Amino acid sequence: MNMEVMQIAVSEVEKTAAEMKNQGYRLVVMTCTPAVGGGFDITYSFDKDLALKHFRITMPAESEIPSICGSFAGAFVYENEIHDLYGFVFNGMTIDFKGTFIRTSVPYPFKKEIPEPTVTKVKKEDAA
Amino acid sequence: MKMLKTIIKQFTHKPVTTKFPAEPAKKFEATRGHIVFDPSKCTSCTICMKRCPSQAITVDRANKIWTIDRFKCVICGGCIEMCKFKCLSMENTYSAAATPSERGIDEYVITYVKPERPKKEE
Amino acid sequence: MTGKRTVIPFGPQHPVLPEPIHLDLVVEDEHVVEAIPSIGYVHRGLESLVDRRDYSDFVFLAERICGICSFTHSSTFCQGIEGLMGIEIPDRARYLRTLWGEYSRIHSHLLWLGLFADALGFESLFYNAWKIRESILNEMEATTGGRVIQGVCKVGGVRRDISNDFLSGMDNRLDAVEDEMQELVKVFLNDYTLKKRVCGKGKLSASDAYALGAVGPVARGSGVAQDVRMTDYLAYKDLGFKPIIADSCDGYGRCEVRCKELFQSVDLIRRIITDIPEGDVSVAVKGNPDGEYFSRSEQPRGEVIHYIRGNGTKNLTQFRVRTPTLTNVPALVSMLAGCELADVPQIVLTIDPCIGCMER
Repeated sequence: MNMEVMQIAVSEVEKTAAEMKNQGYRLVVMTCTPAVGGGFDITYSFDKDLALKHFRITMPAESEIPSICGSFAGAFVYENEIHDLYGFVFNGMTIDFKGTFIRTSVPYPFKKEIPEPTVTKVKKEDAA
Repeated sequence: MKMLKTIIKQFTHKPVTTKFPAEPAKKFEATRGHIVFDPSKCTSCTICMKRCPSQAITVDRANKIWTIDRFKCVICGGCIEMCKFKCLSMENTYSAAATPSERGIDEYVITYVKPERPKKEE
Repeated sequence: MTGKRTVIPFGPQHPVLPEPIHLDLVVEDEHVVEAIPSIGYVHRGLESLVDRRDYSDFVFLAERICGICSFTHSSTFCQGIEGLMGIEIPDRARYLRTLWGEYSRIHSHLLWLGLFADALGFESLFYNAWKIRESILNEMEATTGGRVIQGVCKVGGVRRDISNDFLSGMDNRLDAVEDEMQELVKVFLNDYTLKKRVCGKGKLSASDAYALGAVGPVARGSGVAQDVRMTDYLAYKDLGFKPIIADSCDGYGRCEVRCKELFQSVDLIRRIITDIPEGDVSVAVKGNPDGEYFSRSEQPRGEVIHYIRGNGTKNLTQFRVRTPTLTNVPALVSMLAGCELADVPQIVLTIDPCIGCMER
């Protein structure tokens, strides 16, 4: 399985998507994850004949990203999901739910810092 | 008409369901029913408490009490594998119905006594 | 003649839906013009728990993403960790994972067939489908210890082995199950009333299915031969695999694919039982995962992707799951446009929605 991820600039997103579409690729997934050096990584994965291809953009939080709905109409579910969970704004989505696709009680729940592990704390032994 | 054979079978065969309270519920040797604790082997190492995915187990080292919340336990069997002293095991009967205040939480007093080390000869 | 447009809410509570999804149906007279889905009723944020749990304990959580495809979730997660750490699992474990994966496919498809019959008001067919499913669940419980949450997968292999005697017993019992399934499938594919409710309903052309990213039986029911089992994960490489496709591109095609996959799974299980190699079922795992990995496999509902990233500590840093239902939603929206209001429940059900999976 291909794990190689190609880093691209934000301005190239739409162009790359259109290229992939012309070559007959299928959008598999858009993954949003916190990046190593701050900000967030958005990885676009495409598939053709069961071979995967990944492209990645790295963005600061709450920035604006061009939508790829023009090339892949099915991308709206991922884009709305990323908007609702992380707070990114996608420009030009075919169906824009404006934050109501996934209704969460906490706005943008996945945007926060990585919390401490919540394992059961071992109680300190009484000095006896 | 496509189902005729199946429908006739329903008349000639016994029901496939079991009359549960009268007949015991089905179970297999491998069925994960509930976790059994042996207080005589536990050394209070707390690995089961630290690694429990649902945080059902608490170990009070000072008072030597091992507690399991039957309502939180997801019976994954992870603690049984991790326990180095083999004091946990699985039984294939399900734990009885209970209310949280009543019997959901099982407490055990650890009776393990550390064996005395043979004294070094001076 | 066109009437005034009205919006009818469908769900989150609806008799055909076992789980909550909400659709706003824009209707013109009785015709649905547009459907707008919204989800989030059962969002649990399970993915974000990954940085607070040991990676080997997270398998238990990963398989609780969904109650029906639970085995495939745990095996995909383990496969990802193994890929990241370069662990080669023993052949017997590979075959056993495939075996349980196929059993869970049979159980999931029978569950769906039952629910579908129930949604059409065909109650006795529903009971019959679930009666057969029960015998599959019995095999699962006897071999793994759990009816729906198997809990046998672990990083580096599987927890339990199945003795060869038991395997041949399973093979014999499959004959009876297969006969019963033949009887059941005959009704699903030939019954007049059932055909009236599915044929030509929920049209999705092959090019639309591909462009909208449909996976699993939804894609295969539209004639797109898209199946991850064609790649060489687990034992599918040794078994040789050809996907089943139907080209009627409607609800009947999707139903047909699921019916035929039941027998395909039975065949695969038989092959596994005859070919299974001897040996250990797990290897010791040392170290922690470092790097990133896209792990994918074929669930009963389609392709699932687990994205895993570790940083060399015992907690993973990132975990994302793309489940088949989420990517079938655009296809569902396209199917619903132009259908009759009375057909909406059946069409929603033909994608086999699993909302628990979809929202994690």
